[in-house]
Amino acid sequence: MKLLRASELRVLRRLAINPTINKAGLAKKLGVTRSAITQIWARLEQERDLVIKSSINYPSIGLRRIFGWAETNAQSDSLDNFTKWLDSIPFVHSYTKSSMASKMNYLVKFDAIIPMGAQYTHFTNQLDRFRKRPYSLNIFFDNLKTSRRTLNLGLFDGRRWDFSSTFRFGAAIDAAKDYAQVLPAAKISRPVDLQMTTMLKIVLALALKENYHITAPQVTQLLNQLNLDAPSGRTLRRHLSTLRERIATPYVHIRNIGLTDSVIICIQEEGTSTGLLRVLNAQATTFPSANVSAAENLMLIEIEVPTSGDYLTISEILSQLSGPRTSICTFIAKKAPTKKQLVKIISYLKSSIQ
Amino acid sequence: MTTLKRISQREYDKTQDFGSAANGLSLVHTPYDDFFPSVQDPSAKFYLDAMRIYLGLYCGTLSMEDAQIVMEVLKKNSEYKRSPTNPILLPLQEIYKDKILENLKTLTKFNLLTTESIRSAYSFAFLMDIAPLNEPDHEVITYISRNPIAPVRKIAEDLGLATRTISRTIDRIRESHRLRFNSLMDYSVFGLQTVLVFFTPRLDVEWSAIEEALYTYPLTKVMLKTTMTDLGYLSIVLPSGENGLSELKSNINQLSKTVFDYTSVHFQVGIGTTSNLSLYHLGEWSYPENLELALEEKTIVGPKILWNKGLTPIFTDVDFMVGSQIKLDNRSTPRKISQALDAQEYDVTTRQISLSLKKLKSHELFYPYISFSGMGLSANFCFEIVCNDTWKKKILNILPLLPVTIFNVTSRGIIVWIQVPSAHQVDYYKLFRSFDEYEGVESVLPIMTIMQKSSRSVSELAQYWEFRNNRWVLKPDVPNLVDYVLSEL
Repeated sequence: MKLLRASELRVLRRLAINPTINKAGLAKKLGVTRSAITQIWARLEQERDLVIKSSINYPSIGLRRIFGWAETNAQSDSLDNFTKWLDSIPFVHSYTKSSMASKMNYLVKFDAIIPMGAQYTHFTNQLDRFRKRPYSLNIFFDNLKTSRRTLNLGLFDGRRWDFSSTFRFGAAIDAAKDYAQVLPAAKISRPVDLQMTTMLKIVLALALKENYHITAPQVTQLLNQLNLDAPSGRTLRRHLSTLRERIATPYVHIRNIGLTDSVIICIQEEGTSTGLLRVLNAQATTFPSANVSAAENLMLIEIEVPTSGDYLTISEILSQLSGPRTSICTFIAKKAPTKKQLVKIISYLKSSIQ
Repeated sequence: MTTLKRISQREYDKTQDFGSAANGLSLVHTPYDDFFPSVQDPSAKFYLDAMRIYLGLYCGTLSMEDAQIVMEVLKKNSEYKRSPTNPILLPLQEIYKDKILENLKTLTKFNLLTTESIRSAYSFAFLMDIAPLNEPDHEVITYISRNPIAPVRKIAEDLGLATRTISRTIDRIRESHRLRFNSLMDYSVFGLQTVLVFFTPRLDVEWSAIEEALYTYPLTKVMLKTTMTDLGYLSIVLPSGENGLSELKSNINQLSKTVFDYTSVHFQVGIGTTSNLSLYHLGEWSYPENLELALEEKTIVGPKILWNKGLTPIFTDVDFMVGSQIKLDNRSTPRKISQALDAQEYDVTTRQISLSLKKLKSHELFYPYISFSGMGLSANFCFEIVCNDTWKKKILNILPLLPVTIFNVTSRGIIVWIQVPSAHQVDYYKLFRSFDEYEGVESVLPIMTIMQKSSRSVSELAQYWEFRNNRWVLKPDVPNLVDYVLSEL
């Protein structure tokens, strides 16, 4: 990993605190010139794929995001067939297979963005099919209710990460369990009324998902690519501003900062909530980088760590926290998860909706 | 024939100077006594006392001699059966002292005073950080890994270094990387058999209840359960005569109808260990080349194996106790062995020990090896491989290529414990799991753990045996496994 310069780290830390801040704002906050910020930002974009992405409130654009995982104890064709099926479904945004799992089983985690209605029903019915013979997979899935992205650059000095799953890490989570009820509940994505056509809001929202600071000309280009009518630049800017304010939550996306491995934590609770999901959501900032997806009784936490060496201690610590009604499985994700291109997804959504 | 004598009555019971198993070692003082939270539960006290012993040794308020006596008190705590740790064996380093104190502060800060939290605080304090080995030290440790009983003079001669340099290097690695000179021993000559059992409990049985029963069963050497899966591992050492083994088989069979959902029993016929320090260079481990080719290679000899020789009635209980000390330190002197046995209240002279050592070594009952930590082998796996003899040989062929392994050869297959760098944990995991795709391999079951689990020493199990007619037999009051487990549930 190329070492991060002090100036680059300062910019990133500021962005992690407030991803909406623009270059002028950064320059003012850090007491440097705007051209200096522009140079640093360009370098981070080029060398480390820096981009401000956003999490989207999908119900507001008539879509549902389904997340979940499938697991099996024995290596068999069932999981391979399931993965092939995921690959064939355009709504499936991404899926990741396990290299090694804490329960010594085999898993694949998946993510889908689906229009409400018939396609949604069909998709969930198909998921159910894989639970039955001859596949007999254990499949857990739900509609996303809350999501959260964290990046704790306080653990990073530009060269190495000061993160290890020590006793203190486990103790902090253990102690917080007693206070689960007073921890703030994660904000649920409720639909927001937007005054625009279905397709336009989908295109704009998914474009913001990939780049929070996307410009009107870039959106126009995308709309043209999709053979959709593009409103005027002014209208687009107004819509983008509305969506940013109302349905997009920005976060910093960055690579090549020493977080080489991905560990995924799958948690399922039965019956009434024990508060553990709330605790884990609150403690997500303990990790260098975390992406938390949660529903009522289901949670997926994707963490990026400097080395998968800590995977086992993380697994052990979390397993000790699980009770009789909670099942926790962690796995090291295979490198290069499968992700589908945005244009493809939107094209399919367009043909499904029209 | 010499038989083991107990020290019938000491003039003065030294253990009372330090406390008791029930009340804790409150009379062991350290400058850090204020860090220790107050707990009532004896199991929680056990781990606090282990930390107290370590800190006492570190700062000098406890001598090594007193620490050995104190350990005998600690061993009487029932938690020792579950977690047979020995803080005396750990190197005295500032980093561990700091970690213990930090974890004690965390316990108090978060008011975490359960046994589980305190156990975690203790275990995590000694999770080894990585400390790269320099080239000269690497050269020495590589040499002694291949020649674990070579005298210092010989090491010096072969490496072209001064004996003083070698002695200092070994001392340094002992401190920095927990270098130990151990031995495996063939217990079968004393009429003992090691039995290894993998199991999962039935869904309607609480794991915690079985765990408690199996940990405390008198013949349990080690019990391992990971929090992540339901698979458990149990190692029992018992006298093989007087139908002992067939009764154990029958007991396990009965338990598999009532308590266990899955059981897999192995009778050990041989044991061994390997290390491959040529993979290590300046803090990094490389993945061995051509592992798959080595599986197919017919000309490879494979590692040395200590096979069970079976009952050999020339050995005595004194030989057994002396041998159990050599297991812990194959460079131990008769005087040290005598002191260690004295702490366990056995009266054995240095002359008896010297004669015993001569006899044991001439019959090749030992398999010396070195163990070490802190060199980046942080991923520990156990693989139970049920396979035919052809596949046992194939697997044995590749073990010397791996960083560190210990293996048990059994009648049904081979059980392999490996320590590997976390960067390659997925590769090794996949390699071993792929074996079950081959004809000749019935199944491969993996367990993964943070660290090697310590086990009770065989000499501790000897309190449940009697030595009669040149062999160990069970004392009549030792309950059988099924009665014991069912009574505890």
